[in-house]
Amino acid sequence: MAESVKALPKEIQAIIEAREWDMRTREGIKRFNDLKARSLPTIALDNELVYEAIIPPQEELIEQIKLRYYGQE
Amino acid sequence: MFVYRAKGICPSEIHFELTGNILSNVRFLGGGCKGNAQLIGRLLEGRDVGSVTALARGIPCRNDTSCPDQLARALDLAVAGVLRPAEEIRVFTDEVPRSKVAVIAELEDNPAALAAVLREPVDAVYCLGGLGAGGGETDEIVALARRGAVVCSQGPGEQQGQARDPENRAYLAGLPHMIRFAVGPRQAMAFYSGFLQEMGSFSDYTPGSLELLMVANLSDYLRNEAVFPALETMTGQFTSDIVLFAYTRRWCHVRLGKVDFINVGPLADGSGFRYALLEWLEGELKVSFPTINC
Repeated sequence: MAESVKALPKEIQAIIEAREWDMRTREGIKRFNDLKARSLPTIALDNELVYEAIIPPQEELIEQIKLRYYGQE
Repeated sequence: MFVYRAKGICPSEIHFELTGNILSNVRFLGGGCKGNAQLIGRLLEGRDVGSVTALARGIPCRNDTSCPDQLARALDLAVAGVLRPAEEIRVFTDEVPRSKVAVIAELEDNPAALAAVLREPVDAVYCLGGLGAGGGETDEIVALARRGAVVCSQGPGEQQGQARDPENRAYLAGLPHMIRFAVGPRQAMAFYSGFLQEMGSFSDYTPGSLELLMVANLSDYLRNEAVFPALETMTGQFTSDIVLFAYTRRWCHVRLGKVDFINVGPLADGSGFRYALLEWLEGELKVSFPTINC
């Protein structure tokens, strides 16, 4: 999952701050529960659960990121 | 053992031991370069604290610190008495393979219930905690558990040493926090509950912690079924095939992925005495919750 984020184009990397949580840790489990997630892997954007149990196609992930980033401006 | 929660570096914990001024068993856990970390641990084995801190202090890597720098800070705190050694999580491993075992919990000062289980035709009896309730029968039930060779793990009550007799109190205080045993070829891990996380030495990265965290923190002792898909995914990283726990006073058996999760309820249940029976039969694990009528 982290690899799919790392593989994003530079212009997208420039507008996001990515963080990975380790589900083997108390901190990771707390984050998972706070998001009310159910499956792994999980991607949240702006604290909103967007993808569960799938690794989205890169174009779709970029679209979702842009939607949130430019929608805020 | 000392456990230092590191800041600003890849590993989140540094574990080490001090015998007087001599350092041993240095381990960096939770991230970072495993190979380098192991090499550091080997190079520092048996060295005195002063020489290590002089060597390690101030080395930069990221966030104005580094693994060696954090180790130096941890050693400073340990020497100053600010960081204290933590009681280790004790794990008992039953080396004798079993084919039919009884698992009990929450005996609550009921020697008759324990005596009934000890008469059952099983290879071994394991108790997850809750031997006594601090009442008048606690010493009797502890003595019976010792005589009957019941393998017990420590629950919060045992940790508080509820018995009056000094020998029984010492027995309770020395109980393991986790038990490992085998039923046929399947490896079981058993503990009372997530209260072990309150111990200073508890680490997310030591053997058994993953199973405990998945049960207690992720699934709320299997009560949050919504997270079962995630729990099933995580079972791929378990070192155990069977995970047993108590605490909720529920009886429950769920198989997710390759792992059997078993919640053991109170021994005195309704009109009888109930226990979890694990049997290796015809190449597979059978789990049931028989009741002994009283």
